[in-house]
Amino acid sequence: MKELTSTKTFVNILVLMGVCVGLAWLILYQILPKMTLKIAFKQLLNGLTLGLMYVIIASGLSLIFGLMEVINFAHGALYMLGAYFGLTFFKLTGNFWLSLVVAPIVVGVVGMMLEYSTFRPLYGRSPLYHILLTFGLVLIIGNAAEMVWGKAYHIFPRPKGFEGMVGFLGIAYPTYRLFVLAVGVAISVFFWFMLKKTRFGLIIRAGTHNREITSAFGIDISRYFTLVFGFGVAIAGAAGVLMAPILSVHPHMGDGIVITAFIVVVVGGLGSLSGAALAGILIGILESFSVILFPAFTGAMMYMVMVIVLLVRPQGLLGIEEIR
Amino acid sequence: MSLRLSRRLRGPESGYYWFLLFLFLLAFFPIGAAAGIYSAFYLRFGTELLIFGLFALSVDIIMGYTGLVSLGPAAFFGIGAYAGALTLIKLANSIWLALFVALAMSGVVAWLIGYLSIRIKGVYFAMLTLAFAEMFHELAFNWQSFTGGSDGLTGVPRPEIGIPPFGLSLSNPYVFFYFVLSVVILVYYGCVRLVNSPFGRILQAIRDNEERAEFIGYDIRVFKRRSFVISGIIGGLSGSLFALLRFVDPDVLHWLTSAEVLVMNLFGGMGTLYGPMIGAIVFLYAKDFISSYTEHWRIILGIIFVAFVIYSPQGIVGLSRNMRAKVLPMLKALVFWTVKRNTRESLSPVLGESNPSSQKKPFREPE
Repeated sequence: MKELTSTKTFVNILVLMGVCVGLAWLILYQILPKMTLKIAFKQLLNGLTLGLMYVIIASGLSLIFGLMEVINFAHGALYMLGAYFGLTFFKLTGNFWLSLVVAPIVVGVVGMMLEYSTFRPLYGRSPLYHILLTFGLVLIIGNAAEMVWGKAYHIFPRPKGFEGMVGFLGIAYPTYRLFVLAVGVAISVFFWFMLKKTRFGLIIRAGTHNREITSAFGIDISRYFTLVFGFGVAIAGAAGVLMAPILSVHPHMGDGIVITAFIVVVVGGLGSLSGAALAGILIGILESFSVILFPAFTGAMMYMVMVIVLLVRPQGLLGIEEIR
Repeated sequence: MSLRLSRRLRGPESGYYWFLLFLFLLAFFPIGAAAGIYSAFYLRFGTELLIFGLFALSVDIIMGYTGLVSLGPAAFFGIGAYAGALTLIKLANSIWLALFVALAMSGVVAWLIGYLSIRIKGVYFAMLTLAFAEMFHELAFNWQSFTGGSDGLTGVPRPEIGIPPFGLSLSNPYVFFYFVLSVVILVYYGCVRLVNSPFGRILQAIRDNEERAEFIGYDIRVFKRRSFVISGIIGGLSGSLFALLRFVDPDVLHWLTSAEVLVMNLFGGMGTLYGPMIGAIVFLYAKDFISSYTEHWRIILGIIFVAFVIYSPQGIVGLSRNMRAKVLPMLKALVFWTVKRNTRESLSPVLGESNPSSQKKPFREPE
């Protein structure tokens, strides 16, 4: 018995040494030659912006999964819809701020209609059916957007006052990205406040924790499903409007992001909002650094992070111990 | 009691054999192309349907019979396709070697992915399989020198089937159709035997109640892993056949490929073996049919699909079962009722009952 543990310790030490040597090689020969402090700082900001968008999208997804145990594959499609609605309102009114407010509300309403008409009959069945249903919705929404707005890439102009660059700490950085950073933080804080400090949030947290007991207290939790779905989807729409001036608007812009958002949710721990925030920022920063350092592995990077996290800590970084 | 027992001992459900008969009847399909009833395009299309039927079958074993929702079946399809094509291009122009390498590779990868991801359950398992599949997609996309990157592998040679006296080339669409058909029939029959064997029963027990299967004393992880490997090998086989039919590019590993095969499974009816194959055939045919009329085929397919998820979760097979169970008796009752009413009306002059409602008064009103 004692021998067994000592072999195990020996193996652990060997693995640890290997990891240390690997990291040292990585830092000395791969990272340092390509990095300067300025580039690192810029990439850090880029990573934060990207990460915050992941956080926003993933927290909506996580909220929906937590309460309804539904995996919403159509989240990316609704994010794309948000960008298109924003573009349309912007073209109609010429006011970016109005479209930033109106587009998410419209997306939320669309989401509520979808939840009421298609999700509702499926509660209580295997979660597989929701995956399949939302996959069908991805087909429908994606094609509907193509029919209305066409296949072309649309350019969403940056709002007035945020077109230029701003210089600080020796680097020039786009003003609009800083704005996105600020709004991202604001939405996350608002989300946190709503969930932790209001009665609505209390009910949702109770429903997430234990649906039956919440119902036993006389709260009709299924009434909140539509509202929560609308809310989760609306902030994805807001992220769509915010990202539109940085990327461009096209019918497939949401295809990849839904997978990323899932990975963020799973890495952070299903149902854990602080976990999603941590994982989103982590993956955003890792991604923006690997664009510079290992461009060939950028795409695979987040999957590797997820595989490692799931194998070492299956419940996610900040997830609760129990595995459903 | 003896009746129920005999029913239980009857073995596989008859649907399995009806579908096997259907597969055998498909041997007559190329005659139409040869006679010019439909173009040779449909022969290739029919081959593709069979290959995707095989792929859907592989997913049914893991999802329909073991109850593990894997979101990354495209990994095995893609690995089979790449392994087969690369063997043909770089090693030797032999179909048997290519198939062997493809099956071995997909089996080994399935064992590895299974070993790593079957420890965790439910959504986590689903996400891990998706992540592995996407990793392979990224690998195929970025490893330009080996996999050809986003262009994929073109010019895969079509080998000969080496049965000594005859040299049949797989570049001949007829030969290839019969080759695929015989592979599909063999694998399908093997799967029917498999799911009705004691091993298959254990898988179904795990699907129906994991804890109970564990309490009986089965090591469920081992059985899940075996099922995963079998499913992966069949997936790899279908992928390598696909590589021989068309070209290989990273799209075979894309998550949309996984999503489509899940759709086929649901469309046809999971847990029946023949359901997913019917689903694959109907799905791909509907896709081809609708897209030849309108560019917006995805919206139509999406609506049909959503309707299926909501109203007929057992898919086409379940729908036809429902038809037999509900609609048929209703039709019978309707026919019976109409016939009865008509006979009564035609007989009433004879019987002298002008008013049928008078029958309903069993007693006279008091005077």
